[in-house]
Amino acid sequence: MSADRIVGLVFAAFAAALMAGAKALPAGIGKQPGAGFFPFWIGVAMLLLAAPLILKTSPEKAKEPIRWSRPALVAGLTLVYLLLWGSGWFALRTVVFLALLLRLLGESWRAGLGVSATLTAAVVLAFQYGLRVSLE
Amino acid sequence: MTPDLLVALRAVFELQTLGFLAVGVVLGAIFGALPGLTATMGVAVLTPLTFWVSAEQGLAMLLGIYAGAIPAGGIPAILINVPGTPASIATSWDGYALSQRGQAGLALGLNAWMSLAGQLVSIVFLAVAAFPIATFALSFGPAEYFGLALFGISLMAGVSGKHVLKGLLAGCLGLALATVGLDPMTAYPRFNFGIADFLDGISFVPVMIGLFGLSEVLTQISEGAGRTQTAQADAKLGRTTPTGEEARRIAPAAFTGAAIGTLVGAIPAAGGDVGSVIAWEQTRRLARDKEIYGKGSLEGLSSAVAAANAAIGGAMTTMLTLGIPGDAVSAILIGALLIHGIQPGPLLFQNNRPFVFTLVLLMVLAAVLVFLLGLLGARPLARVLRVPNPWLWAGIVLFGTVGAYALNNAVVDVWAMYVAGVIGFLLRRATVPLGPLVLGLILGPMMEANLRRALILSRGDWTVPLTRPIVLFFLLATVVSLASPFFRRKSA
Amino acid sequence: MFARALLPALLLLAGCSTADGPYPSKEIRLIVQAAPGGTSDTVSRVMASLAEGPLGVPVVCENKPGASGALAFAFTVRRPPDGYTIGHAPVEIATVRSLGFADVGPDDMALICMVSKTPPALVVRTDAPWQSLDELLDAARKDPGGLIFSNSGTGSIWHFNTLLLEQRTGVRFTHLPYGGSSPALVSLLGGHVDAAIAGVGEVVAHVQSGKLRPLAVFDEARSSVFPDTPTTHELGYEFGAPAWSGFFGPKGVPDDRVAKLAGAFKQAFDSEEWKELCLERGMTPVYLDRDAFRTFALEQSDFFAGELPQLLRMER
Repeated sequence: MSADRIVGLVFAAFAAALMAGAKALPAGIGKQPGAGFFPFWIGVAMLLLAAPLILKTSPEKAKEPIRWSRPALVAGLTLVYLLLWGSGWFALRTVVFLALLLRLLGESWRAGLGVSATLTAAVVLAFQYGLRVSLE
Repeated sequence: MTPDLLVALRAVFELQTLGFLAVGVVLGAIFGALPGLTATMGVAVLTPLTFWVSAEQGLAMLLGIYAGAIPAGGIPAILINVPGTPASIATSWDGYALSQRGQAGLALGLNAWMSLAGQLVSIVFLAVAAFPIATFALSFGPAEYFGLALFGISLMAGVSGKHVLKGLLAGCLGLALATVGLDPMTAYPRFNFGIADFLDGISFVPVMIGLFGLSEVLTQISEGAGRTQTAQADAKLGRTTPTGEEARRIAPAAFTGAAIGTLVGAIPAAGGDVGSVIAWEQTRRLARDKEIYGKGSLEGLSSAVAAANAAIGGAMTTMLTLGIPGDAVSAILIGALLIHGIQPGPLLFQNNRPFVFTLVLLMVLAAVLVFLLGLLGARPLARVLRVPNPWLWAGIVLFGTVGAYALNNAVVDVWAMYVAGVIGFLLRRATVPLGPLVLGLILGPMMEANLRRALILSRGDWTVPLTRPIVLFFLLATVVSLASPFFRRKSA
Repeated sequence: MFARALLPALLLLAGCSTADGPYPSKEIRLIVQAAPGGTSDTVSRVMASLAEGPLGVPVVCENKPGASGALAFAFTVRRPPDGYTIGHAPVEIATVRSLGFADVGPDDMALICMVSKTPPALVVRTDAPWQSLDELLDAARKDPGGLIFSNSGTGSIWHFNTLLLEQRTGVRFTHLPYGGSSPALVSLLGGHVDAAIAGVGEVVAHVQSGKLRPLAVFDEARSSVFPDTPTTHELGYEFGAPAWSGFFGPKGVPDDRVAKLAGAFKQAFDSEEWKELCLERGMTPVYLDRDAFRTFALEQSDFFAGELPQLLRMER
């Protein structure tokens, strides 16, 4: 299946869910459109726009190979960091996260720790002390 | 020279006032340049500090932040493809392309020059036509706002590049996401899945940080970008000033941008973000070399930057003449002025003319200061390109995350940033353009709420709004905008 | 060995910040339910800076806007009740539960004190034909639904006052909701609607510049900024729901700490700065101590629980 067809199918599925959700919202009173009016018609528009993508047979172009593993690891590591958001020890957690991230991206431990510490210090100074945002 | 102007000159050219202005400009530049910190936030956070100084000094600092943040927002947009503020989204389209071609210097230089041009042109508009512009802004009822939003949305195709169909789908996705939260008319909760945090909808700035910050990082990693941005590191920064020939070419684009930016900025609830996209697309449509837009067009960059900056003067016009905020920043400025017992509005022009002159002079000075800062800073700033990529990526992820949180002190915003980042990455991989998505997010609420307001006013009659001239103008412009690609193809 | 030494140290650290010792010993967070720049934010920041003196520690404001304040209230009541996290308490603490935004109300809070009240005013453009509330109501009776009122959002306090006016006088308006008072008044100034109800402080500037005319203030006593405008009570309509401002902590804050905070806010309330701010913003300085504020807030909560759902159903 071509990449475009997958994109079209994903958008069409989203559109269908949107229309179903919009139908469940209260209808308008009299001639006035209700809460579901706008989302419903956006869904219709998306379905119409997705149709050519699904139906069209586009020649498969040879694309440069994508390395999925590294972005997936970065996204996963960030996810773990965000799950721990607000659990205390902000500075320590952040240094560890950044150091791991930089190691993953091929930096040496030493350079990674140095950069991590600097960035964390900058964020704590700017946000916690400058803007009085409570980071914990 | 009128005595009022003399009073104003004396107030402005006082060492302390100038000092506050300079501090404001520098702080504003920092707020603007860091993704996750916006001009609105800078002005909001520093407003309380101005309670303890004179009105002129406080205003000097706040105006400095405003004038400094918008141009600085273009810097990360140009250098690392991450807009610093929503107003610099369109700046990244041509700016980053230029920077990748080894012309970062010229892009940064143009950013400084066009910021100056945009701010000055809008101040001239303010000085000569404040009241007509304000009346124009006030004539915007629900139907007119709907027309403006519809026209803005019709630009989706234009900002999609080669992938028009996918761009329109992304635009619809933006419109759909904008419907999350309380229904603007009936306050009925929509698509929030019982989560109170989503009752006010998904906050825009965290989504922007995710779409342009995190997803850019993931994209660069997936493309196997090297440790350094070799192309740029090897290339010289290049000149920072345009040649005379280039300047002549840019001038019309810059003026179009500034004029559009001023008008859009003057309309309450529409600011530099909308203005710069409209300006960029208008300039592109009038241009002969349309293909180069988005790939490093000097005119495209100039128009976008001039419009983003001209929106400042536009917003200030509405604020000063009517006492109505033209955008989020001027809403906070009104609050700050009230604390000093100054009420913006028509009476200000009658009762306190020296203060109006002071304000205009401060805006001019701020524009010049930020211009100088921008030119002087271009070379040192471009060194960012020599920072190893992983360091930059780590910095973007960290500042994006903390910035998203700091916006409303809400964890849900951090998640919005993350999810937008991952989805943005997947969409980029599938060559779905993100510009229309952002346009949909910004304009969706404006379009829906005002369409429904217009229908309440017309008692459900869809034809009544059509009889209003400004609405008709926007509808015609929308039709032209949607039809023009087809005409062009035939003639070509 | 290391762990054995560390544990008491940690306990000591934790103990310092919550239990014994004189209160307050570290900075106090004040959660504001609205975005920076508005009335709630200004009230909180000015009060915080004035209360810092008597308390002897910094009071830092933190904005947590969203869902009419429900997010900030729900967040604050879930913080440890140690008096180091408090919140700004606007009228919405009494309405968000009835609106269904979050299950939080005055009964979940340790109320500290109330410091101001803002009555609503009904305004029209100066070129409008109606010179009094009765003329406007007569016009509405002749043409039910013909007059259009902009408001600051469905379910907001000023929309509620508009609904109340309809219900108590038996007329029918058309409602045009906006996202806040500012755009609602812009719509009135631009001639797109006929009238609006908003806080006295929000309309005062437009009245002074000669663009808007107040027809009535929904209060018992006349407003100091509109001494010539009759009140609804004078006109024989005994209703009106003002906005107000106070402070609260999570339920369970020790009594002596609430008293300490209330004392500091009372000192701030008595200052000249506060009186000036109230005058500028069209607020009435009203001090209610914690018992009086508690009674008042619970009464308001019951009042909205009884009226809001029914009035909104009528609207939807």
